[in-house]
Amino acid sequence: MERKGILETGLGRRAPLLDKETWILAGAVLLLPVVLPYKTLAAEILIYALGAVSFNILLGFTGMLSFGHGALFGVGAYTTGLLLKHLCWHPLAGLLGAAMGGMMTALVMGLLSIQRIGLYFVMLTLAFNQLAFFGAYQWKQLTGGDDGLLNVPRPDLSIMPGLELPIQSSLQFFLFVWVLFIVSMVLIRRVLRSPFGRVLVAIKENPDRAKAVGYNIQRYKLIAFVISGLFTGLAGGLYALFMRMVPITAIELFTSTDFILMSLIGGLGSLYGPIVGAVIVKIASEVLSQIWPRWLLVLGLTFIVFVIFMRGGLWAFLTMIWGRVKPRRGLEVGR
Amino acid sequence: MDIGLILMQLFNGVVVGAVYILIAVGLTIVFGMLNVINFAHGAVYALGAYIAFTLATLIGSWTGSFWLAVALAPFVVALLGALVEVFLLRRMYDAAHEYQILLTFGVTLVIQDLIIMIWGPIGKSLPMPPQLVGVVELGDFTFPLYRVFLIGFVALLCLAVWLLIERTSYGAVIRAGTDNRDMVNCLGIDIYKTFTIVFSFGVGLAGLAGALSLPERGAQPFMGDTILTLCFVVVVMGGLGSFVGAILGGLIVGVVESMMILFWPPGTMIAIFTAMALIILIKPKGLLGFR
Repeated sequence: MERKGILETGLGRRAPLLDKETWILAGAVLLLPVVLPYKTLAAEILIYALGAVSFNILLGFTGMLSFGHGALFGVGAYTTGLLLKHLCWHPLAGLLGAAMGGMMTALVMGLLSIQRIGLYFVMLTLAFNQLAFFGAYQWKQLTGGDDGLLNVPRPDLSIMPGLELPIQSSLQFFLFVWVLFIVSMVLIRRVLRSPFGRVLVAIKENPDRAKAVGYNIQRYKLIAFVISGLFTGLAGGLYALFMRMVPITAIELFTSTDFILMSLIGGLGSLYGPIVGAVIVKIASEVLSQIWPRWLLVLGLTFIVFVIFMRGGLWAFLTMIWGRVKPRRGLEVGR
Repeated sequence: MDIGLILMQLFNGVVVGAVYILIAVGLTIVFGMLNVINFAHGAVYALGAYIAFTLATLIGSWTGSFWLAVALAPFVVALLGALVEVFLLRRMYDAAHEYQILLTFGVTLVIQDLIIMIWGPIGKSLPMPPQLVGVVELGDFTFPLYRVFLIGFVALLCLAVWLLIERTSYGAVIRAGTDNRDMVNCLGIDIYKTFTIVFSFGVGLAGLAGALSLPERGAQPFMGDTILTLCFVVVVMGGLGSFVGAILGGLIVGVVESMMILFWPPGTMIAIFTAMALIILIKPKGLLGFR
């Protein structure tokens, strides 16, 4: 593919908030509960997809591999769980708390982690995830420890006095998640396809040059971390509502590695890749695990093949095919 | 608090540290030479335990079986490690750190699932070898014989590895490669062959650690996960790539862990990971590191 200047591709400008791409995404995601065997899976997929997309803001767009996103997700889940359980708030207030909690955790974690790069960055985020996990595990009075935070209520969504939207059935809850997911995606896209987002990609491709050009790369990295934490926390909050509890696994290192798997299989270089990854990984874990319990082996092998041969992930593969079918103009990927 | 209890925990800390050392030494040598941090190292440790279990049961319950298993398991693991290096890792040397980490992480998933597939999700255990049942009495204290043996064995092994690295011409290649691998390559030494050998050696040490933990801790599919993150702490503490640093770090983490268990158990892991974060932030090269 020939490389164009930033001005020619229009990448330097902000993407419009709503355009054809958003509607296609919204429509495609809305198909999930129709095609899937059970509706609950669709909501879970969207929650994880939001987490994976947020994770990929760091790895795919800024070049930072975080093993700490399980902590952000978990903090979000516990925040929502505790708010709804003890203060009996509006579900949106609970989710706002989750986003704030994820953001604050990301601020602290990011502030410390971005002091180092490469391997040490990875190790720091890993250490913070372990800290958060063992903290949650030991603080039984607050988090319920190993048993998880049980009986998190899922109150109806009151829009105004007298008008309450129920979100109890799995389809209602899916639509609730769907709305928040699309809103989040629109916001994330706006952030990434903006001059700010282009600086992030510049930091990923060549941090020294980005610095030399005059960008304060530490500040950009931190802001990216905080934005990523905000949406990961939100995903965690949705997870607490979804499960009606917060299992300790939400804050485990495995949650971090789930996001990594989804992002890589879906495609790191694109905004939508992790969504594809989340769909594949979650369907595989739900459907394949019933057919063949050792499906994780297949997933691991697939993962290795993707790392070695297809770092663009499935999304790059799909856009390549799309480009063949419709050579006029390929779908715009993130880079 | 009873001084005897503290001394006993100190001893246990050294025992735990000995296992960490075996794993961390492999991790740190591989990093020093290949510049790759092996996230599959913990899974390899588990694999070592399972292979030792199978070897010990295959050969039967005659008295020597444990020794044969311990002696053979690391070689089987090292062979598998060599295959991973040649067929997978070698393609990644030009890639960014992140992709090397992701690759070895993928290998972890495969190994753990292969373990569950072959040996089942429930752990395995092996009775203590009869020669090592019993205690050693030293004044007022009694120490389990197996643990005393473990410390002695690991100490001897570390000495042997140290001699190998510091006193042989082969070790000179490894040391030189750790300093500047391009230069070693230019001098006409086949650096890729050395990479394969170093990687399988490091992995073999992790396998040995697994085999040696078998009588006391048994084998579980996910036993490597926690110990791997602890060994990251060990190598970061000692300094990535530093052999003596890994030994020092292993002892520190082992002793701190056992002391925390004595005084404030809930804070054990929190203390260890806080220490790691602080070391990376304040002194990223670790106690004895150079990178």
